[in-house]
Order: sequence, then C-alpha cells, then structure tokens
Amino acid sequence: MDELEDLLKERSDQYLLYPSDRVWNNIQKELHPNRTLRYGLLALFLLLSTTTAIWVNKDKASYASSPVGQVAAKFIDRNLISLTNDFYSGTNASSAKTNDKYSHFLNSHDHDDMSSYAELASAEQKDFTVQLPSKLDVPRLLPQKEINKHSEINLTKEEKKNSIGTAIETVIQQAKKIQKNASWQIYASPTMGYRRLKGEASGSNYQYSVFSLSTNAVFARNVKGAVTHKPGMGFEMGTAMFYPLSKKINFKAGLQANYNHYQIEAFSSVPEIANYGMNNYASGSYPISTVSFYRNTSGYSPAILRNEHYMISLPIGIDYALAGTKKLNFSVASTIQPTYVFANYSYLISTDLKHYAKEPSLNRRWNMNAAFEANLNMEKGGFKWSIAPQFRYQMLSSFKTKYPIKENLMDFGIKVGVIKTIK
Amino acid sequence: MENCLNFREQLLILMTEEVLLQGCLKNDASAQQELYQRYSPKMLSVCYRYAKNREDAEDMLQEGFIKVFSQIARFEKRGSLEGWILRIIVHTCINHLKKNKKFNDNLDLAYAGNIVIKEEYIPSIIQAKQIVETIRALPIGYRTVLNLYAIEGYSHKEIGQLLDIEESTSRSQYTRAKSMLEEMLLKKRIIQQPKEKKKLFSPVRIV
Repeated sequence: MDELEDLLKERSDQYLLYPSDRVWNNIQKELHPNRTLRYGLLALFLLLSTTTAIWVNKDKASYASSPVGQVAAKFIDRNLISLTNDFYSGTNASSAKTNDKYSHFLNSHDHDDMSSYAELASAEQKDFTVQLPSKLDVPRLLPQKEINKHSEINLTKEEKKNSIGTAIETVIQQAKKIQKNASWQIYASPTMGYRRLKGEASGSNYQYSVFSLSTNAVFARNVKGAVTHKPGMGFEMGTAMFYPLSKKINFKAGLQANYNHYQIEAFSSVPEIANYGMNNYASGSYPISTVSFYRNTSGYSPAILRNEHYMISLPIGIDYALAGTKKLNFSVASTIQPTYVFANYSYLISTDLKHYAKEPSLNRRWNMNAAFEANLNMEKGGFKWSIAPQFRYQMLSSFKTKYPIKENLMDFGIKVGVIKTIK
Repeated sequence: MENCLNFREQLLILMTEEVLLQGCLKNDASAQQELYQRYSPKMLSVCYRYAKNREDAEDMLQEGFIKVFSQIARFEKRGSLEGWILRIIVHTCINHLKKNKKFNDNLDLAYAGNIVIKEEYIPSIIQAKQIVETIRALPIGYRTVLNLYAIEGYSHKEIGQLLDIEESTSRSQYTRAKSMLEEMLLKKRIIQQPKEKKKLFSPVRIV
C-alpha cells in the first residue's frame, strides 16, 4: 500500500457523519413491529365493540319498527298458525303427511330417548293424533285464542318436563326476558396511571444479586425511597351489559381494554449488568442478570423511562342506585376484573436498586383488578349518559412472586359512558 | 474503593461489546440502539462515500443496520464486530448501487476513460472531509473500486466477484481512479507534488 492509499484510509476513517433520527426510527419500526400491531389491535377492539353495540340496537329497532319487519312477522305468524292448526287438529291427513318432519319432532314429546325417534322415523305413519298440553308455552308463535281451541289436547306433568320443545322454548323465553331488560353501555375514560411500590433490597437479595464488584456500594434499602417515578396518562375503553336484579341493583359484565403508563426518572449509562436477586433462592430461584443502559441514581445524562401496560379484562360487578329519579340519578358500582396483560414494556429496578432494565421473564401475565366508581346518570333522547370518577387498583403485583419487589398499578379516571336499553 | 471501581470500569469496557452483542441476540431494543449509536456515524460515512447524496447514504445505512440486527446470530466472533458490520454495510451499498443502471454503465472502462476532471468539481472543505468529498467527485465506477480496494481493503479478485466484473477490469479501474484522484488532490492542493521519490505525498495543513 503506498502513501496515497494510507492517506485515503486514514482520512476516511476520521470522517464521521451522524445520521438523522429518521433512520433509527425506521430501523426500530422494522425490528419491533409489535407496538404498531398492539395499537392496531386496541383500535380494532374499540371499533368492534362499538359496531357490535350499535348493530345490536339497530337490528332490534329496525326489525320492530320497519314496515318490512312487520310484514315479515305477520307472514311468519300466519303460516305457522295455519300449519300448526292443520297439524294439531289431525283432520287433514295430507297436511300431516307433507309435514312428516314436524310430526316426528312433535311425536317425540311422548318419548324419552333418541331411540324413539329412530323407531318413529322408520314406522309408517298414516293417521295420528297429537295431544298438546292445555297451556303450551309458545306464546310468541301461537296466539292464546288459537291454543284455547285445542284445549282438549293435554300432556301430563311428567311429559311436559321431558319435552325438548318445551325446554328449548323455556331457554328462549329466558333469553328474551334477559334481553328485554338488559341495557348496553359503551364507555371510555382518560386515566392517570400510577403505581404502589413496596419491597426492600434485603441483605439476602443483595447478596445473591451482586458479583462482588460493588459490594461496598452504598444503596438505599427501601425501594420506595430509592426511585423517582411520576404518573402518566393512560386510557380505558370498554363495553358492558347491565341486567337489573332488583329496582336498585344491576348486575354488570363486560369487556374492557386498558392502557396504563407511568414514568421513571433515571440516567443513561454505559452498558452494565443489572442483577435481579430472587426470593426463595434456596428452592432454586436463581438470580437473573441482564444488560442495563440505565442507572437509578447517576449517569451521563438524565433519562425518562416509560413503563407501559396494555391489558384486556372482563369486569364483573354490581351497580347500586343510591338516589335520584329515572331521568337523573346517582349510583355506585364496583367490579372485579380478571385481567390479561398482553403487552408489558416495563423497566424493572435491579434488586441492588442501582439499575433499570427490561426483564420480561419477571412480568406477570394474568392479574386481577378491582374498580370502584361513582356514577351520575342522566337520561336524554332514549340514551342514558353517565359520568363517573373511578379508581382501579391492581390486586396482584405486576411481577412474579419470586421477584422481591412488588408493584401494584393504580388508575384514576373520569369515565364517560352511554347506556342504551335493549327493547 | 477507587481501585475497585476502576477495575470495574475497565472490565465493563472489555465486556461492553459482548454485552451489546448478547442484548442484540435477545432482540433487546436498548442494546440495538446502543450498538447503532456506537457504529452508525462511521458506517454512515462509509455509505456516504458510495452514495449519490446524503439521503441515499441514510437509506443504505438503514437497510444495512436492519440486516445487521436480523443476522446478528450469524456473527461468529472470528473478527471484530465492527469489521463484520462494516462488511454488511459495504455489501448493502454495493447492492444499492447495482440497482442503478448508471452505476453499471460507469463500470465500463471506455466510458470512464473519457471523463475530464474540472477543478470546480472539487469541494473546498476541511481535510478529512476534503478527501472524502474528492473521492465522491470521482465517477461512480471509479470511486466504488477505489473505496473497496484502497479503503475497505478488498482484493481485486473479491471486487471482481462483488461487482460482477473481471479482476483485470478492477485493477485497471483502480489505477485510473487513483490517478484521477491524485490529480484532483494536487489541483486542490490537498496533497503536494512529490519532490523526492521517497516522500511521495504529505497532506497540506489547512488552517
């Protein structure tokens, strides 16, 4: 290599250019597309729940009120009544013959098991008479006056009990009854996320977690006093069904998505090893080490870490009306929420309280939340609007039990919801 | 304690590359960012020597680092991590250039031989940048071969394989490229005309 080549190489190596932020952002998007996907799933969930709620209401309303719905209902009723009358009377042999399918089904009311179906299906049936109970529980299909015409048709109590048709009808009746009384709510709420942190860097944890390089380091023993964290904005959205148990008490169940985040003040540092000592070391929970780029107390520049949680939960609870009228009332509600944390971007403090790093193996996936809210409800234009300050508390630690530090997430929010009764 | 911390810091420096590598193998975003921040300035200057402009250089860098992170499990620790990254970046640059028809045309010796260098093409900026910009002022075929041979240290055989040209073509391209560059550097007084054969070139100090 001659002098010119040496010069070229030397000077080229000295020349540095700093890329724009766009490059790293694009690289990160390419390498970690999950974040975008999770935001997308959350949006999809909201869209689906909203669409479902609107569709349920629209479908009910449009069928009942539209001319097409009324005509269709009349047509179905008339034909069913005609068919049933012909069949029940047993006087029209041709009608019975053409409706063998139905006759098999109805005849089966007299039999206990499926073998009876087979026997009946194979037997040649010409003339038969069907006895119906005096009060067959099919009020939606047959007007009472039509049923009364056939009051001579009777079934015993035992036969009624065994009747598949009656059972199906009963279930349908119940479902209709529930549906008739249920109301549907969609809600959203900005929240302020925070956490309750407890645990100590006990001697044993510390001992297990440190590789003797900094055993003489001074550190805060109580985690609560050792970290600087502050609340962050989150949100909650969901849908719930209300079912009245009494005049004042409603049962409530639904599906809810939560995004919670809070911030931690830390410091960027050179890559270092963060050590996580475990509880029950003797029983085989060995310390975990991972790479950390953030220190808790000192470093070359301040950094804000965001701990983010994306959750789906099933709130189940009770809503109790305290006071007010139908138009304006005040209620309190409490729910218990089995929760699945489907994404958790959390920095965990090392058990010597010196570093922050992500260690997904210590995050708990399933959790349980409890929520309490006070609702002010106003009814207007067929909708009930609700505004509710609420508090949500995560009952189990965000981390697995082997990690000595416990974290319980908290959310404060003002929930705005709209409730529609399904009729 | 001071000694202990010094020892620790030293150990960490030695560990750093390994630690970063382990983090990247776990697809840890923080480790990837650290690795990127460490090597991207140098790699961007490499891309810039091959690229038409800064924007193209950033595109090459982006593509190269995505390859680095997605293929990092293939790094066998035979050489340095930096050398491995550099190789990926250079290959990415070449692939990028190959997509351009003008680049393929410029690898043709006959075309390159007719190029006349005008003094005003040579940018006047500080020393390291002057040299890099002068290299960039070369025709694209010349500068690619020159970059690969003189700066990245590829052999003519490897360059031939990389650019799909004959080894002899690479040699000729390089000779012409070097001669042209020398002429440009002399015209701009970035290097001095050698008075004695032993001392060929010495960079001009720019104040």
